[in-house]
Amino acid sequence: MNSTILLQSIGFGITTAAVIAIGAMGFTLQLGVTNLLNLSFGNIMTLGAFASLIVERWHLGLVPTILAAPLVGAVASVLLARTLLAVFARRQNGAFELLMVTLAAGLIIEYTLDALAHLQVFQFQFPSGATVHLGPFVFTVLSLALIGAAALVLAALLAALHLTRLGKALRALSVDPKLARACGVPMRRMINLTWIVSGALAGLAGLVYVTNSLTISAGAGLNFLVLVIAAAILGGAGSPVGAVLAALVIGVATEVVAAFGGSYYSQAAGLAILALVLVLRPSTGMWSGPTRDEVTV
Amino acid sequence: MHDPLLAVAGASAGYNSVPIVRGVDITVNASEIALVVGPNGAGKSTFVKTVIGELPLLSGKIEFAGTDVSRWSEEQRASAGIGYVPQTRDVFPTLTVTENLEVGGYRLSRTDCRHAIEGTYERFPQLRTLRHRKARQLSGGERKMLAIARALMASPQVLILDEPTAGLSPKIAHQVLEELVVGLARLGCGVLLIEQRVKLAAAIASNATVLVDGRVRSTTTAEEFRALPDVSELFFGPLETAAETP
Repeated sequence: MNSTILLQSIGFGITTAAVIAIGAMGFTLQLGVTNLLNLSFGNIMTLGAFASLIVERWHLGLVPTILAAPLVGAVASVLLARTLLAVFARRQNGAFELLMVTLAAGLIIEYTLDALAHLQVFQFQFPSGATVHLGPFVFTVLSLALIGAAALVLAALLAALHLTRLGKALRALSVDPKLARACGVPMRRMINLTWIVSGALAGLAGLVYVTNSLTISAGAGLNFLVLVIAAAILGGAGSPVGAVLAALVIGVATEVVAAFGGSYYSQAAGLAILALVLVLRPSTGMWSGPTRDEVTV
Repeated sequence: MHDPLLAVAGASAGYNSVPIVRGVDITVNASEIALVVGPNGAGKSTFVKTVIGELPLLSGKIEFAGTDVSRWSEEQRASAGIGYVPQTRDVFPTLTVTENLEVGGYRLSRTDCRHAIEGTYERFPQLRTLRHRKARQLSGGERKMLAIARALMASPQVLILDEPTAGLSPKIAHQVLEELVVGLARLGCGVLLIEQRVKLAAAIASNATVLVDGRVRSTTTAEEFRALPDVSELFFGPLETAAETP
């Protein structure tokens, strides 16, 4: 095994992990609080990326370009929850039915984007900056910025969840919604907040994905969703730290496999790790406690 | 004579519009322990879920401090002063002791919450020493103490305890009822106590309601209840034996 290629692929893997981690943190937050596997998450990522692409094409500047993705992601996410999912949840549909609704919503978003984009793949202009050597690894300024963004999101999420009353109430809600409600925690407001934050992170993940890959198509998020779900489940529902650790494992594994076995197998590596963890610790993932049964949207 | 803190009149409730409890009347006054007993399947938990607002009332009325709260949500009832300690899943296991108390006092202002936590630690000094520990690491008795302390954070006027001694050893069960529950009533709190350990609970209760097949079989003072050999033999003797068998 060529050690230079191995170290380079680990470096790429850390950058890929940062991209997966931002999506996985949003996904796991929403999964932890609502207990719903949201299969439209990848499409909301794509929606966010397209929003930034449009703003970038309008030459509105860097800040609006960065803000557009999380903003559109948050709006799309909360709209999905309060319209489609709310209707089906009111009809006493269970976790599987709601999961199918998210899948359908995701397909609607994807095909709408496809129709509007005329099946094109768009180039995204984002300077990657100079090359930086850090120990045995080689990064670009852009990839360091992506890693920094993931670290910032993790720090902000941890601070919000562990240091604020709102965050502690959210953690309580994710453990036991009935007891939290009996304590007077405003459930509806909390769940809406969760959809907004997870949607914003989905949009941001779409943006970082596109800045890393420099191309975007309507189906991009759906492919990336596989790795995001793998990281969220591997890390344990509702655990941002677990999601980041899992993203690191998956990111590095996919890049190392891509370097030595071809990019064709990179996603398979992520799924293989997920399958292994599901066999070893089926109900909890690696870094979280047991999950509950009921879905709250 | 003051109005009761909690007055349930003719309450019928159940699941999917099928009543499990029918026409139940119960009142709870301040500083009083109102005991509800009955065999398994009598509808005690359904009744409790109806009072706290988890299940809708099909007919009847629930008044709290003179206000009709029958259509209020669970959160509204909790905010108004109806506290609840469930039989199981009574604390947030992944949160620390202090965080559990903070969630219990979520409706309070930041300052009031801080004072309430300090007051709780003065009342339950054992919890202060455990404050950084996750609730899932506590023993059964410590956990129940935390559950009650968590419910007390919002200073409820009425506290509903659903089988607080379930799963506890006889010694700890005795402590929970004799010290914690009696202590609550002494603080002026009205307690609605659902309990399977009938003899222990009857010894501290002010009155007792027997629920059988979703209906009230009898409502008596605690003294009268303790003097009912037929009822205890017929309904509660075997149940208590079963409940206290390890």
